[in-house]
Amino acid sequence: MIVVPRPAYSLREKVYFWEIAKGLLVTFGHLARNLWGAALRNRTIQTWEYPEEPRPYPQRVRLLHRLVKRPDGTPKCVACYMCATACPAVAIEIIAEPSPDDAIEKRPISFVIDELRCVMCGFCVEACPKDAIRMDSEVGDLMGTRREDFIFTLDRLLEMKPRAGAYLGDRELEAKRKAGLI
Amino acid sequence: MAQETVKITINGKEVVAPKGTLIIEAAAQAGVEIPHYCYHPHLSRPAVCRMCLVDVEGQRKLQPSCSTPVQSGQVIRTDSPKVQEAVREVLEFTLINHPLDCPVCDQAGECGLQNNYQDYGLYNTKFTLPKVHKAKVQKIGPTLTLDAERCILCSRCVRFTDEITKTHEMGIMQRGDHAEIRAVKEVNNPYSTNLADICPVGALTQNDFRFKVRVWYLKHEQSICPGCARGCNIVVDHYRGEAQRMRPRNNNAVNQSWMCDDGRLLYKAIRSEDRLNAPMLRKDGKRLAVTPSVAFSEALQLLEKHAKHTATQGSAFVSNEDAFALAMLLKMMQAPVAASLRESPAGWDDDALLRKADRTPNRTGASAFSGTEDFAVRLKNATLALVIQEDALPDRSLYPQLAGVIYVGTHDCPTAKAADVVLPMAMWAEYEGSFTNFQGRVQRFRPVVAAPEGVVPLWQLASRWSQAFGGKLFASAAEVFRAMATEHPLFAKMTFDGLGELGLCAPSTEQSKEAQA
Ligand code: SF4
Ligand code: SF4
Ligand code: SF4
Ligand code: SF4
Ligand code: FES
Repeated sequence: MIVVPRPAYSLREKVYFWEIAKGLLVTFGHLARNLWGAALRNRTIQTWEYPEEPRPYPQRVRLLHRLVKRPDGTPKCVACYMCATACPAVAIEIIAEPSPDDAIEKRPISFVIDELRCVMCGFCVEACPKDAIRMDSEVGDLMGTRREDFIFTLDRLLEMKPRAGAYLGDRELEAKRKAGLI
Repeated sequence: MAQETVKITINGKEVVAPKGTLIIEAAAQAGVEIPHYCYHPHLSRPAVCRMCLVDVEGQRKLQPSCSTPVQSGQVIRTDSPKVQEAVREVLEFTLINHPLDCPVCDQAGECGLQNNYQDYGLYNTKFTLPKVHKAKVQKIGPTLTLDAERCILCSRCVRFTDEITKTHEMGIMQRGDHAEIRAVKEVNNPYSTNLADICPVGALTQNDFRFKVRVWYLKHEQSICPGCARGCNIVVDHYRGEAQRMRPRNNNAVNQSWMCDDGRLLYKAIRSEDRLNAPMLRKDGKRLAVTPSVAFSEALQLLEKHAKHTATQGSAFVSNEDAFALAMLLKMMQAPVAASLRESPAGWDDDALLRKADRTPNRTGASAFSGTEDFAVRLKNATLALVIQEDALPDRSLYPQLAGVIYVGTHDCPTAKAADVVLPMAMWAEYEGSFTNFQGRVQRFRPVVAAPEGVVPLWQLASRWSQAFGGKLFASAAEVFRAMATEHPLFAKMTFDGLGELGLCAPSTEQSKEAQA
């Protein structure tokens, strides 16, 4: 066990007013700098005038979900429920059925994400063993007036387009190749 | 006869076990779990999987604990580095050709490979050759799907079909890493779904449950199968308030570890189309849905008016508590006791394993509280008929003197359609109670899902009605059981909680006599 002693207050700190004045100095310093900056059109303010002034997304941002397709257009998802299990917000609802293709075996008949419940944590993407769900669609700011606008069904998730610059390879296959399995 | 015991030491802990016990069993009793695949308490022991190896002091080689009996003074270690190394290597070997289908495999979550890999995993494959592929998704019978690639060749299924059902459908063909499990004929025996339970991996899965729910979402409740007089001990797995599957639970005195295929599907009756969900009254030939309290008092008025002239048909489908509370109601009404129980629905004969021709779960218990006279005879001089569960009065025009018919049951039937008052009652999976099986074993079932709104078990209805006649209002099934235990020798000296997980036999019944002999 380590005991960390409280730092003792100096007399100046105990008197209090000097310290408050120091704090206010910082506050008013910012105010002055921003007024000055606005006057000279040389901005130092950290607030953005969104949405008129859109910000570029960083490389690794998590945007709304999309489901990856197989070459024939069917979902890559095999309805393993890993994402739904990992989701801390219980935002994902899946119903599974046997796939007509025995090599695939299982597929989702319904796959619904409630984007209003989603907390954008990305756990679903991490959990997916098939690299079937990704958060790199082109939509980052979804607007709607009804709840249903935020319910993403299987079809809607498959239609979501990857954003410009998104990684398009197949991580699952690559991992298998790396492990020497294929 | 006192059993001979031996003293052994497992992982430094002294354990006393009956002579002849296998090490794996003695360890389990002492709370030490030894990983295993091929061992099953109710099958022979071929010791083929080699997962259960343990270190026995004085023996140079590791011993398979599933086929080594305990011997006095043995010092056994299941956690030494040597054992762990061996188990890890066995597991690695088992997984060499395993497809790792976990995302689509229905066993994931209750898989022997996954579970043991958590403890003994290698986490790094050394194997670089291509895997051997085998036949997948084979529908080998109406109830099962076989994936030969996932099979670890433990031979449990082969032994089950050879030793238990004696139908010999499963076999292991070829040798070496081409050894493959196959169904040599259609697997269509009445106990086939047990194969899905005993298969430690996802090679054999049950069609009915396949892809329905991931098993880690399931909640479990102990219960009793209501399918026949055997009363197999079961677990009902449920999810979001719906029963999803039934599987057997070990009770050596009743069903070992098995149950039959038909029993397994009985959970479907809980939400079937013809389930009675709301009380109904018949007015001018039409049925009107009413609130439970209206139907309850309507029925009570009839009972009060015709009290002594009520003919009652009890049922072998209701619990002991239900039958007893009904008998108490009739006693308070001064009505004759319930008529003799009806014949069981046909369909089966007794077989050598579990199934009994009597397809009612509680004939022994319910007959303790019914008379010997036929319902048809009773009806001749009755003015009110009270029918529980059975389709006993489909044509009431035969008895023109009947002023009323009350039907209390779970599903719709001609009798219910003709009744004046229909009161739905809770099904076995919706309340707490006990059944007495054909051996006289009283076994408890527990509520798994909620009953439809306003629907209560028969004992509650009966005890509430009996209040109007000065009877006692029971607060719980346990209270009914307490009263019942003092009234009837079949339940003598038993308490509801004392029934425990495996049930009890009264001293007078067959089984306890057998046990004493
Ligand atoms: S991002 Fe997180 S909260 Fe949103 S669906 Fe995925 S797991 Fe759930
Ligand atoms: S984790 Fe991936 S494969 Fe599994 S259900 Fe979710 S999206 Fe589908
Ligand atoms: S049998 Fe077990 S390890 Fe094999 S695929 Fe199924 S869940 Fe995974
Ligand atoms: S199918 Fe299952 S039970 Fe049968 S041998 Fe293979 S692993 Fe064992
Ligand atoms: S359990 Fe002992 S060898 Fe398989």
